[in-house]
Amino acid sequence: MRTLTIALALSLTSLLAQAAASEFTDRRPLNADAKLSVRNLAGVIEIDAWDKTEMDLAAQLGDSTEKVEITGSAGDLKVEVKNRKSDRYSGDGETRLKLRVPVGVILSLDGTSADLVVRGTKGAITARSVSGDIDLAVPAKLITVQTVSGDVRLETPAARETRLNTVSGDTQVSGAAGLLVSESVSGDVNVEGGPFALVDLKSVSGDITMQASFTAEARVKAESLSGDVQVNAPASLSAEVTLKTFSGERQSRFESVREASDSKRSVLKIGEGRGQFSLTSFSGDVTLDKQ
Amino acid sequence: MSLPPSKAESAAVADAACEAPVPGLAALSREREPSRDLWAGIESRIAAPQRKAARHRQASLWPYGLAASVAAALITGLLLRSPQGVISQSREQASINTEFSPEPARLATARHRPDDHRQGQPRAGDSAPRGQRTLRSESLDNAPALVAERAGVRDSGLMKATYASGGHQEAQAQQAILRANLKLARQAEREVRRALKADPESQSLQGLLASTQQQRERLTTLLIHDPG
Repeated sequence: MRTLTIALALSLTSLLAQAAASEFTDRRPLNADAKLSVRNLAGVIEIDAWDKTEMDLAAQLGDSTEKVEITGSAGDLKVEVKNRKSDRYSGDGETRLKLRVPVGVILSLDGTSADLVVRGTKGAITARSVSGDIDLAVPAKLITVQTVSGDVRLETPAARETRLNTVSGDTQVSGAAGLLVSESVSGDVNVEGGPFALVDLKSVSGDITMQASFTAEARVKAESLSGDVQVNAPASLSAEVTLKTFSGERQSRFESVREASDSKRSVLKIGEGRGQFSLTSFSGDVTLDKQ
Repeated sequence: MSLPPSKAESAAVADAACEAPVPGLAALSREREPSRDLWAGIESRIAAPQRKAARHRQASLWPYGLAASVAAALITGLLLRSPQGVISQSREQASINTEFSPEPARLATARHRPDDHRQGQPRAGDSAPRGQRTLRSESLDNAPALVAERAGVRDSGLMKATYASGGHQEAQAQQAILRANLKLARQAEREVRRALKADPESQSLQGLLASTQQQRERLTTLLIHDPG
């Protein structure tokens, strides 16, 4: 019995030592408006803003991770997870990076299959991923997001320019304003926020839903091949609206001053008609609804 | 001047009223049978405390079982220690159990709807094999630059991240995801072209076609078939 206890204790000690070795921490100066580039192949990149001019990094390394390489200066820093070069290796390659950075840092994030999570930063963000999800809850003004199959969720109350691109990932935008451009092949696009001045939403087979306010002379375009397109606008909307569908249904809940209609399209003048809205789907339904 | 009756006096009056014979009570039948057999209910009530006691005796073994489970979980957790995703742990967990498929269901079937939109088919997009992710292949190290050169597209950090590190097995899985999305983009492009035949003047369709072509080019740039 004693032998068994000693063996168990030794095993646990060994395992704990191994666990400690798979963690990595670093802390170093980072300017308030620095550029920070983070690259992690698989796992998570999680970034929170704090009020110090330092970067604090805590990483849980995957089995295949060789090291976390940090290069550059306090004005331009790069953090990269390096994996072992082994074709035979097939273990757990997911590394979790948790960073705290100054609020104003400009972020460039690459997570091939890693999820990207950012909270609280104000600097411009560029986030790219293939299959990882991207989740940004930030007061940043400039946001660029690109995924292949990962979903995108943005909560960006200060965003003035947002550019999104997915192939099959869904997109959920909340709180943005100004310019919004989103393209997808089969992902749904869901937008809340405003006031928007320029909107261009495309999804070949995904649905497009927008509940937003708009500037007086807003230019809004939402297009799909087979998805539904629905825009919920304030009752005070002033725009010339074109609803177009080849085989779907068109519907507007607004009173229009002037109306022209044929088998494919309806052109409505709502209010003074200052803005320009074009909502189109080839085979889906097109709806302009009142909030 | 009269005083209000005391509480004792009120109670005495009430008792006297209760003790008075109830009119018609004596005329009621005293042989009436209950409408159902009450014994089963009584028996179950009698047995219930015994079952509770038995459960209680069994429950006394719980602390030992729990302690053993915690110890086993700790050891297993240390052995299989891995960071978890923060966005959707449950989905990732589910995906870990998903067998690798050359064309992930999430991409090839669930997300693509050019044909099925009008048929109201469900979208089972949440079963993506996200556990199947990138690893390294040394032979792919220079591939992004080569492909970017071929495609005339500037090499992006994403491409480097995709192929510059990792293992061969997961690199294949990542390629499978890209390939499935490329297939999706090609199919979407065909659908848009077909729609354009029906409505050749549509600027919207032309815009969608351009967008789809750009997506296809982007995916082609990301995807490595054979860098040699």
